[in-house]
Amino acid sequence: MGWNSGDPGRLNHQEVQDSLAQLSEADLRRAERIAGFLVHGLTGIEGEDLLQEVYIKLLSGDRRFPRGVRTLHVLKSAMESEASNARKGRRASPIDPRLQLADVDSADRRSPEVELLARQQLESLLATCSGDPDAELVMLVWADGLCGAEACAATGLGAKEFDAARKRATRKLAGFEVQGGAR
Amino acid sequence: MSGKTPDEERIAKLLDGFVEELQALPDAEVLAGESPAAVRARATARLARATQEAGRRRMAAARIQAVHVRKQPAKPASVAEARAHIARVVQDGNYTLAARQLDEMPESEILRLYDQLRELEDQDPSST
Repeated sequence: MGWNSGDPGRLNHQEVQDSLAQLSEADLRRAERIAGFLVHGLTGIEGEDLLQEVYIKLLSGDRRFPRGVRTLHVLKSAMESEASNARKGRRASPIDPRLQLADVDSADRRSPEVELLARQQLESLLATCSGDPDAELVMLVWADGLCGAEACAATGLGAKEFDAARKRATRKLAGFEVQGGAR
Repeated sequence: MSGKTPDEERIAKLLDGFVEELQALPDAEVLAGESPAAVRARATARLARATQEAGRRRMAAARIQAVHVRKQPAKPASVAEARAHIARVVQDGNYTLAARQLDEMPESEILRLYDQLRELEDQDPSST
């Protein structure tokens, strides 16, 4: 892929660099916490590795940075895709310009090993709220794709309980060890 | 079809729910007591490392691409094209060849000479 595609819908190298440099401290921390979520339960890869790899691919042009999309959203999508590749145990070669991530995106995804890894990762994520049944319930309805009032109704919790459980689930997934403490 | 396994789909949805909440969290809560300067320093170092590595990979990719292009079989030239090219090179004074020699040269020899000249040009583009 690289920078020679002449695609006006994507940021150029300098614009990518500027967008990454201009992220606020809070959004940088959000990106780090998303990275932590995505490598949860995976061995051999840290959140920082994932984030760094995505920065490299955006800067080298191997990954497209669409114009008009928030930087945090771009990082989230790119990290999600990289984490998926890590689950498959086959990362796209960084030095082969002819290889695109799409090439490794579907062919053998449904191997038993990939299915098992995904299951283990999901269980590991849900386990972050073990001992807190309400927060675990919130995570389960999120995993079903529900949000807002629909999610609240699906849990059967009252609005206040749901709200509190939702916040606890978020804090657990974000890796806060103690309330108000840094990870 | 996304190609995701059912559990991968659930992880993706869980991530969406989590990110939505994370974005709604006030900045101070996201920082959770960590100094913004420390976060910024980490990000600056990450960006510098990534910029350097991205440059290295782009160079490596360009080298592979160049080798790939060089190894592409050259488009076979017609005898007339080959003859014209040789005549032009000779006229430029880079090589010596009598006009008569070129006129009398068998077609196979013209094509062979043309290939040799192109190879020399690829090695040293300034020579022609």
